[in-house]
Amino acid sequence: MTETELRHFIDTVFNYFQQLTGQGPQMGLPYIKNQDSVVMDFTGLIGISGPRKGGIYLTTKRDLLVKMTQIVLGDSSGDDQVLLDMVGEMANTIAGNLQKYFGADFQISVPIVVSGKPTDVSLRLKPPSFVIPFSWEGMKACLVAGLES
Amino acid sequence: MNLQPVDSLWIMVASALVFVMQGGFALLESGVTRSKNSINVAIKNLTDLGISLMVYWGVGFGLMFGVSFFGLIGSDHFVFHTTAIPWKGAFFVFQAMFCSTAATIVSGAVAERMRFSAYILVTIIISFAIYPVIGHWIWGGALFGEVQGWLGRLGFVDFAGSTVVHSVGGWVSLSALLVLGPRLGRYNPDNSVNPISGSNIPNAVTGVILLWFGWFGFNGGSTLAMNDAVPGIILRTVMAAAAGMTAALAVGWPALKVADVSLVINGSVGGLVAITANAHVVHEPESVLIGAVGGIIAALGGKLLDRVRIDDAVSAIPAHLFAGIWGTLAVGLFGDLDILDNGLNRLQQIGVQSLGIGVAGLWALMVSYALIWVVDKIIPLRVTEEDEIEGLNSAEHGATTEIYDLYKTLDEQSKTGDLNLRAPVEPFTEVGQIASMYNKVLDHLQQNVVAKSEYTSILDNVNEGLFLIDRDFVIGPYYSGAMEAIFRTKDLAGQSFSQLLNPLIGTDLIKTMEDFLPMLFDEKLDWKSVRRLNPLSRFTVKYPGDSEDYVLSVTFQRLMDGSSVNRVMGVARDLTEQARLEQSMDQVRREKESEMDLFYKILHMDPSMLAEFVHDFDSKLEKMNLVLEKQQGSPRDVLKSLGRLAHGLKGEAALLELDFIVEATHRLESLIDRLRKKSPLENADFLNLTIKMSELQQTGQRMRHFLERIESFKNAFLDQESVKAASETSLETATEGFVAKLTKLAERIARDKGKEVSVDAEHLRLNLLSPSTLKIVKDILVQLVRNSVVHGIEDPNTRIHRGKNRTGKIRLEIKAEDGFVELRCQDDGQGLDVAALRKRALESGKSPAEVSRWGRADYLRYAFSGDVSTAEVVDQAAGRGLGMSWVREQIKNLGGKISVTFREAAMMDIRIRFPQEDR
Repeated sequence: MTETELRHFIDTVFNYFQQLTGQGPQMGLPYIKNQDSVVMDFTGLIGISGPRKGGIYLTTKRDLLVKMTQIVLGDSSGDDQVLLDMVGEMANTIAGNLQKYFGADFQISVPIVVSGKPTDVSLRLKPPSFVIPFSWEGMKACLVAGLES
Repeated sequence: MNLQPVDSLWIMVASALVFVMQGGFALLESGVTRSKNSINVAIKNLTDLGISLMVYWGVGFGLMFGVSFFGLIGSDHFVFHTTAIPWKGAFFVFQAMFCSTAATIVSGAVAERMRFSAYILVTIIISFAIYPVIGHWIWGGALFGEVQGWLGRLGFVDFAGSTVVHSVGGWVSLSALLVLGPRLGRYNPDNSVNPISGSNIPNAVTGVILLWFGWFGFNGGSTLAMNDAVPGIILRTVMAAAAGMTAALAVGWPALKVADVSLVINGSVGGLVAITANAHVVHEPESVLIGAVGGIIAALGGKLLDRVRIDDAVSAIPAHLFAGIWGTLAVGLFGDLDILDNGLNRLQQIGVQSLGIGVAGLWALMVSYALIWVVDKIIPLRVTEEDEIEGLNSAEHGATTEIYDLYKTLDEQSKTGDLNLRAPVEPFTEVGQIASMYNKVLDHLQQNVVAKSEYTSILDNVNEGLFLIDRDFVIGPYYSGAMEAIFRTKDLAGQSFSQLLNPLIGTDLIKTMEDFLPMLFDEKLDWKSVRRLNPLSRFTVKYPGDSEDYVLSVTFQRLMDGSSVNRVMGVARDLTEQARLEQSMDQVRREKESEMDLFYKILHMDPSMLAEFVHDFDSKLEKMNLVLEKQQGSPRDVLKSLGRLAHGLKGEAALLELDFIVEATHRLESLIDRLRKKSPLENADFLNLTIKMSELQQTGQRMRHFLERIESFKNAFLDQESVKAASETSLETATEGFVAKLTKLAERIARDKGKEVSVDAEHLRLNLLSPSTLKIVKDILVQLVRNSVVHGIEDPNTRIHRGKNRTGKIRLEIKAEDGFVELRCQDDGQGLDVAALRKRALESGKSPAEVSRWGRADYLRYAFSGDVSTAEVVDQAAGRGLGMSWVREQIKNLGGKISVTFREAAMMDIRIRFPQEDR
């Protein structure tokens, strides 16, 4: 992956939060993961096919998702199913916006959503995966991408 | 009445002359109107002749000359037919011509805007309701040689119709114009007048001459007899016309500052109309005066009408109405009372003339206005605006002229911009010639426009920036669209080329370019040499607000005009992408070279050392990644830690001379340095760092794979030998194969070092080992033997000096007891070189106090720590001190122990014990 592409990832995430909530997230330092994965409480994974095979996932802490569902869906139940839907929707929107940059060849799958710490979430990703941690209103999440170059 | 045939003849001749006036009117009116309406005007002249004759024959003549009903209106002679008196026929024809004349005056006044059908109705109105009625009042009873009309009986005299014919025509014209309104575009909002030029003035002039000629009959015939009065009447008619023309010219020329055609035309007609009422009762000098005044009135009366926005297209009202009134009044003013002989004195005569003018005017104006107003409600008098613009020839009659066709083409073209249209060419006419020339012009224009649009479409689509510069280096008006993209500037036309480049390039290049540009235009300089000097064939630019460098190329071509260079064509290209590709290809090539280098280095490198390096390399990179992941401290602190780690990585790679990795880590280090200096530093700036690190990780991975491949190659090689051995069912053979190689390795290293060695492997029972252990043990043996040869065995001279055999001995043994395997390597070398180790320890920063306390065991531990080698020279065999530490690592993996005994300058004995595994 190139720096420009990764910058686009950051911009996409930033714009997503900025547009929905009026508040952009704070980016952390990016790092690499090869075999093991970074997983938080809820994860939405999008498989990518086409020339840039691999995957992207968004993994977040619970509190962040609860806040987002309040803002976006007006649902403050904190119900796991709602949070899973939300993380899937977020991953899907972010991947959809990335598609505009990468082109129609960048085929995105339907989101796979999981809670807890599954071990196989990084299987879809092509190492090395780049982890872009960020925090929004002090709550943590990561966008992880592993694509063939 | 006593009338002779000669009288009838004269009246018939006079009728014919009056008839000719119809032609005169047609020529005059069509001549002074625009050609788009000329046909319409001419057709009206002919049509009103026919219509008025029909109406006059049916009704008008009876109303005018029938037996009078109280002097107001005639009551018989309708649908006129000749009676026993032939003269009446001549009389009818003569009077009918007069009626037609009155009607046709209107056609000129209302020209260029009136609907043809409505005009016919107006003709009917004149011939039926206006002309005959007023005619009866004045001339009623003439058929019977007596005066029956009430005005006539009062003594009103209008000899040949200044009032009856001309004023009536004028009054009806006025009514029609009041209803119609002016032609489009005739008057401006500020009341100024736009002149509308006639289409054929020679025709108009000919028309006036015909009128003048016809007037001989008009006035001369009005005696209704061929008598002595006729010549005088015709004489005065001619003189009045001449005087009218002369006076109009004399007054109008200075007033208008030009000898306007309308002056002579209207002056002549005005003079003729004025003399018509009184030609029989005035003398020649008076006729000249009357004609002169009439001429001036006719010529200048139009200005009065324009003041009140009455748009009389041919000045019919001034010439016929105003001059008619004047002529009628002149009977009273200048008429010879003796000739008049009606018992009235001059004042009475003037009074009755004025009365006649008034009532005739009142009737004509009121009745005609009312009727025309009604007609307008039935058939709108006026044509539509489009028709008026298009012209009545085409709109009303479908008739076109070649000039109209040309006009249509031009009009169509001006609306559509279609350059494919061509004007119709009427052969052998002036308009046809104009049309044909116009078509030629259009051909050229079209060719140029089409050619130009082809060029511009090339310019728009070509990828290169194409442009022309003149001798002042100013960019020409046409340049390719790519220019604006390449130089990121709009509207380059007229800009100086050097001004365009100056902000983008360095001062050195600016200077060189300014020296170079004039050379392009210097014909004395050889073009090939000039071209070679082009400093812009490849140069770097920096655009404002963009930190990246871009590579451009501008090449030039002289455009010769004869032997001088008028302009120079430039071709600008953006080579940035190409340059980047070249750069990355260069990098790939260097990487490949480095990889070959790496390959070569690795081949000559001790695999165990490489393995250790790769392991270390990976873990250091992982450590760096962890620094990012944990992110302790500020981003700058993180960079500091990363810098330290990267530097360590580079040092180790340099130690192993792995230039490829040294370069890569060096780039990483410089990137970290750059980031440390960057302000403000954003987290996103770390992306490139992460990417570089992942590339290094991949390099590590490649090295690992490479190492594995070498291992498997070695194993395959060994396996092959063991398979061979197995086929001979002798494990000893397999062992011998390895032993032979090991011996060879020892001898080769010894030879390189100028030593001699022999290996005793008689008791090396490799068959006691399980396959997995065997692999490790073989590697350990290689290390041990290498270590013995390099560090243990002395050179032959020393050995002889020490009283030893010049050939050093290494004994290798494997035995099994109590479930343990013991591997033993003995040599008769110098043992552990304590002095060298001490020196190395002190050099590496150990404190002398600490080293002085060291016993044998401490020296041993130090020797195996991996931090030290006692070899004097670093080479591929030894010198990095990593070999023995690797052995220690492997022994640990086997779950074994090592014990070492040595005697300085005498021997070294290494024993390794580990649990035996089942084979």
